[in-house]
Amino acid sequence: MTDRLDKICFLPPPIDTPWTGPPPDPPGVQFKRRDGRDVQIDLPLFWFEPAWHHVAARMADQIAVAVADQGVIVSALNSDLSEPEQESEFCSPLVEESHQESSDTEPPYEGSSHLARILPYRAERYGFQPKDLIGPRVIDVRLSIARDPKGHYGYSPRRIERWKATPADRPLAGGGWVPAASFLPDVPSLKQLDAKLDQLRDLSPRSAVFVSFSSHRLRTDLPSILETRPDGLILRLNDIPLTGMQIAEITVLARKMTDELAGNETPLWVVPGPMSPDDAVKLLALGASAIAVDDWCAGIIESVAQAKSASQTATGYQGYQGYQSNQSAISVLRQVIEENLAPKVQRFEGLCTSLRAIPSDQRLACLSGRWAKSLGIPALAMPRVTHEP
Amino acid sequence: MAKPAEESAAAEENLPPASTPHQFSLRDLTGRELHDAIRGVPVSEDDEALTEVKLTGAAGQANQLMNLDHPVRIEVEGTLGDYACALNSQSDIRISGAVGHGVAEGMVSGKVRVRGNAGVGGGAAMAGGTLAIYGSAGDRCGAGMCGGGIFVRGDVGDEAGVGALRGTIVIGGDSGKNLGDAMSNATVFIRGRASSLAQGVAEAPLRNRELLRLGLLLINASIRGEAREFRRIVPIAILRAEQSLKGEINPHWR
Repeated sequence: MTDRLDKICFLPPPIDTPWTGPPPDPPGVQFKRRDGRDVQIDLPLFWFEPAWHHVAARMADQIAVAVADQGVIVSALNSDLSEPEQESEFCSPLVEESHQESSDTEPPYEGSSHLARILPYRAERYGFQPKDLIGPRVIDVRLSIARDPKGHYGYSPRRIERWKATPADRPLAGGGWVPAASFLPDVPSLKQLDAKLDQLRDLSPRSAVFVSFSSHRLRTDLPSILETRPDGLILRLNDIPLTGMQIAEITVLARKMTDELAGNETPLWVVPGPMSPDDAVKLLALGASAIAVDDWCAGIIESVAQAKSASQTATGYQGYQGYQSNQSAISVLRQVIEENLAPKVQRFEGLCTSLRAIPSDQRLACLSGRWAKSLGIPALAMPRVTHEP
Repeated sequence: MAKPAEESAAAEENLPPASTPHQFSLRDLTGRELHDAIRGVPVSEDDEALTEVKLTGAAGQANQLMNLDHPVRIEVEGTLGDYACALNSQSDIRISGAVGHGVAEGMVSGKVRVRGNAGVGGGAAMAGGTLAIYGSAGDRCGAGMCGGGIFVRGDVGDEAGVGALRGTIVIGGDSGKNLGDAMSNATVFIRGRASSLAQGVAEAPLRNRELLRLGLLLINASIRGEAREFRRIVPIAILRAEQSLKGEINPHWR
């Protein structure tokens, strides 16, 4: 995997630092809703836009559970992961609780414990159901317009089919792509987005309500979004072909603007595109609060889809053979998680732990004078630097 | 949980609860408390007569009566703010005044009747049920809806029905610009004039089946007038499919 931030390096502690043991394991990543309620996730890693429609719903559900078990918070709707006759395991409560119809007890959707989930709240809300509001840690109000694989601002037929199953001979939109919305239709303007965010906080009292947006017009969009007082931001940097340095620069700029306009406790989650674990930790040190690992997880869906397809071809996918095909895909899923995702998450955790005892302004240095100047972090005094880009 | 006034009084006098509606005031309860109080109202055993709940003190409060999934009839005296009755199932709600933006957005089933005007995005992303607005509705009424029916006695703003996948929108008055933009399998019936139709839709003849269906819908929504006064607006591809297949719709148009 390419290190896009290879001109940045981690600084070890100064050589005269006394020997101390590693700090205790962190309790997780905590952030606050506007009303002061805490929300917690295990690791500052999230899967922003899984292509759930590339695999069968049941298999997608298994993948979501497996990735969440690695400490990554996963974005999904119930309709991405379930079928009419089978509820999603990923979206279901972990423990069944007895619900009493009394004002003394919290409503079930507040009291239940769920796997860490992001609810993608798209402008059109295709596939969204009221039960999606039960149990997400984060609601991601998406202000960036979706694009389908063919380049339309829209959703592919496969995606729509997952969300709105119809008889095969009567597909929605005639089986064609469906145009995507550019902004929430029930919000008059960006200035009034705060009312929508408040509505979602009311509907899901334990979820933090974030706003995700693209970086194309960062200097104008970010202040406008912060005026609506979201609980956090998700900055999409994956829809422009940016260099590593540009990603680092935009992250530093967005952090600085957010600190100035909304205080340094506002989470800034970043979707950087392909990143190594080392790069992800460097982005955290530059000011991001969590990093999207879609690149680490994309291979999981591809591998499972290929395994399933190969197995179906071999078995004909009937009855017991269908069961075998599923088992084969699950076996591939476990293998890919163990061999691919888990080592990356472990490397990420290890690096994060190594930095915890070091003051935040002494964690990074640059191997390039240009990067150092641009990012405002020290340059290492290297004897000869001859390969600057 | 706040007890309905009638039940409290009945308990004091050791009498069975009165048949008058359960009553709550929006001035005394938060949205969450009101939600819980309504959920606590017993459901009628008679399928034909829902238990009645009366709400007073409505003065434009936002985020009220959301995510209710309880078969009761709720009368609201006054106005409600943004996102009233969002995501509801089963309830039959009647609001005597106006409402803000996003009324009944994401509704799954049940009914919402608004005696006054509604803001933008009324019935957006509805999946089922009926929204009736007896005044006028703002822009993007019925946007992204994928089921159910919306009836507006007055006018609607621009982009009504934008992105609707399924469902029916009936407009008693005029519409603004771009009526039916990016609509898929949804249908609009309009009695007045549209400032402009979106590029992908066209006026289609009202067939007997639509006359019958619309007539029933109008009666159901308590909207005066006859079905034949309306015009039907559908995606051009649906119209072509109807013409070529004589009603059997299996269009592939994008």
